[in-house]
Amino acid sequence: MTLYDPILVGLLLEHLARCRKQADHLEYSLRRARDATPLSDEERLERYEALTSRFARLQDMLVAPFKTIAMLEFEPDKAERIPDLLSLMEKLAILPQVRDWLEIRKTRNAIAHEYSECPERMAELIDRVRRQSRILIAALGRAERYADKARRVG
Amino acid sequence: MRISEQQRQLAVARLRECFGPDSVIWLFGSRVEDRRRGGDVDLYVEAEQEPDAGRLTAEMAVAIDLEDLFEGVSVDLLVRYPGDAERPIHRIAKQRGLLL
Repeated sequence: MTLYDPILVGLLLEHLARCRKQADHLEYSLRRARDATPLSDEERLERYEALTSRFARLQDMLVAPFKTIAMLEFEPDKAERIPDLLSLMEKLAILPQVRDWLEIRKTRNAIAHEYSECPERMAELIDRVRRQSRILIAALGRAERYADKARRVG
Repeated sequence: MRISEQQRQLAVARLRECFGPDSVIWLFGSRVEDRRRGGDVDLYVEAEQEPDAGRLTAEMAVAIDLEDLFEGVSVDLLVRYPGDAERPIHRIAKQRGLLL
């Protein structure tokens, strides 16, 4: 049985609590995006901005708990390079596939560059944000279960 | 041109698989210049056909595959689809770019 460093477990729990808060904000924006109430362009844009920035921020924020998990797994080198870190998360089944993360990063980058002048692309982008939000939130859930196990064992 | 012959061939094959066998592809941006170092890989594609998936989804999937091919270097795709008007950036990519 692996023994987990309690200080690192404490750090992981802190990171995860911050991510969970962000995930809750994202869930709120996802619910608002489904709301069919007619809105002005400004209101719709504001909701879109909130949804996409919460989505992007959650992806950014998840890197910190992933790195702490690498330390807990005695793989500190893997915390140094993102591709190695993602492979480790896949191995631990926290991420279903490294490819998912790369796809999410593409969506995240497109958020900054896609403009509302092309409605089809915007609709596709929002659809990706919705689907991929579920992947991020599920990964957070699995990281929380990992932390819970580490807390009990450690 | 700062991509290898093998990378050129594989990139063209992957892009044509997605956007049609008669798609025409240019490398443009900093990778065209031999004296510069590093930089993203910028590719301009005149697509023969619409991809099977949505445009954005197809472009992103291909870019991820190409980033693997270019060993982690970021790949930016600019795609003009059949019927799309020519924008200034398309003209610049063709004029200053290299046909692959």
